[in-house]
Amino acid sequence: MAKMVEVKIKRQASTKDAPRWETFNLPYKDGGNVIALLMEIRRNPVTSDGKPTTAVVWDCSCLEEVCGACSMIINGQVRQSCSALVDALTHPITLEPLSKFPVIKDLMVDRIALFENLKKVKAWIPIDGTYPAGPGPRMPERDRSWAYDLSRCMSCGCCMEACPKFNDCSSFMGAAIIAQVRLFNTHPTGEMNKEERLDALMGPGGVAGCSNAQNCEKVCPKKLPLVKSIAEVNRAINIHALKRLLFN
Amino acid sequence: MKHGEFYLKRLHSLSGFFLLLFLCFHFFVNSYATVGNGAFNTAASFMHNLPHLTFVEILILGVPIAFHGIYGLVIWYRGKGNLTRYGYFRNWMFFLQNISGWVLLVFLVLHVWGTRIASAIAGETIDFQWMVNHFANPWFLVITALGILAASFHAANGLWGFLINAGISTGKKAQQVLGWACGLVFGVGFLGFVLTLVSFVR
Repeated sequence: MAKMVEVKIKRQASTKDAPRWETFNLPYKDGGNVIALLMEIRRNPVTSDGKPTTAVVWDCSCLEEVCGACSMIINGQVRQSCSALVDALTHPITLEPLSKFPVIKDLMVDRIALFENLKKVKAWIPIDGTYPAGPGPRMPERDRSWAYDLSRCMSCGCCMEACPKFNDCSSFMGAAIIAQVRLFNTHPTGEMNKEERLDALMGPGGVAGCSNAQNCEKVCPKKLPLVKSIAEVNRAINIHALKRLLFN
Repeated sequence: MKHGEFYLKRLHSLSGFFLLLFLCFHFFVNSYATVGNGAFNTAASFMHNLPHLTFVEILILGVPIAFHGIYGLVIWYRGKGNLTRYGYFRNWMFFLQNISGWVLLVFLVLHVWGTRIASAIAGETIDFQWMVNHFANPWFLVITALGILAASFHAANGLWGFLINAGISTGKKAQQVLGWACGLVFGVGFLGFVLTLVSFVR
């Protein structure tokens, strides 16, 4: 008999429906990842007890761990499903949607809250104007070398999923958002608007929500220096807050 | 208040740091018990005869403790532990910080009532003999030992977090070294307090 892979998937028909579990027995493919298993289910949506079912819905795009779309909970830990190789996982494999974002269907979640939070902290560099402003200041290599790391953030939401302070009871925005503020506040042009971003992180859901459990950095697929970023933003915000209190 | 959460959290950190300093002082004064009966009574009577004692106790100690405890509950309520899935060391520390906070909240009510308010109402003077009688009850001994454990941990781990929230220890290496240093603070604090406690057991 051909080698088989057992996969248990937490399925949910829509945001309002209750979740249920389904088990699949799939033919093993050499070097395959979790996405390949899900594609196999889409090709032949039959559960392990031979019952026909609907194809499992999931989200993915780049398949090389740079887009952040395919985050899911694999064997209880949040990660990207494209880089989760079947050979490297314990079996049976369990797949669950992220628990901190609303489920659209099955393994597909709505991460819009993450992008709304990036808007709240103005995680961009405003360069549009009515006349050309000329070339911006250059970024020194000593900053570029670590800031580049932060620019690799793919807004996958793993840091938020693993954070004990990111949940329904708290408006905390999460590590990725704070790290982006550090990135844009370091950029020589972005730095011109740093007070706006620090102000936003002083507000609801800002940096004060962090309790230093530091799961974010442990689960980050891009290995970003999230812990240092939060601490550096803490320092910048404390100085910013003192200036506001004393000199305003 | 748009920035209310931020200032409350920073005030929580600062009050925690202040309470750590008080705990060190409290520990130091209590440790006179390890020197001897007379030394402890001298230290205790000095503390009891401080000027404006009630004012100091309520405003300098009571208010920061009450604020730290109540806002600590708010912070606890906003967290959802996930140790079963993410059993990392720092996640354990986060969990234990919450648990020790709860233990302290209960212990401090018993501690302040038992060794301060009740005796003041009864008009008793707290001296070495009073403590010996108090700890003759094994329950008080166990509860106090638990309170000491929770207080030493909460203060030491809280100091570690305070340094990050203050933006002082931002680097990984610094946080690691300070993690060991705070572990030492916990160990020394706990052992020292226990030695003091033991000297009351006759």
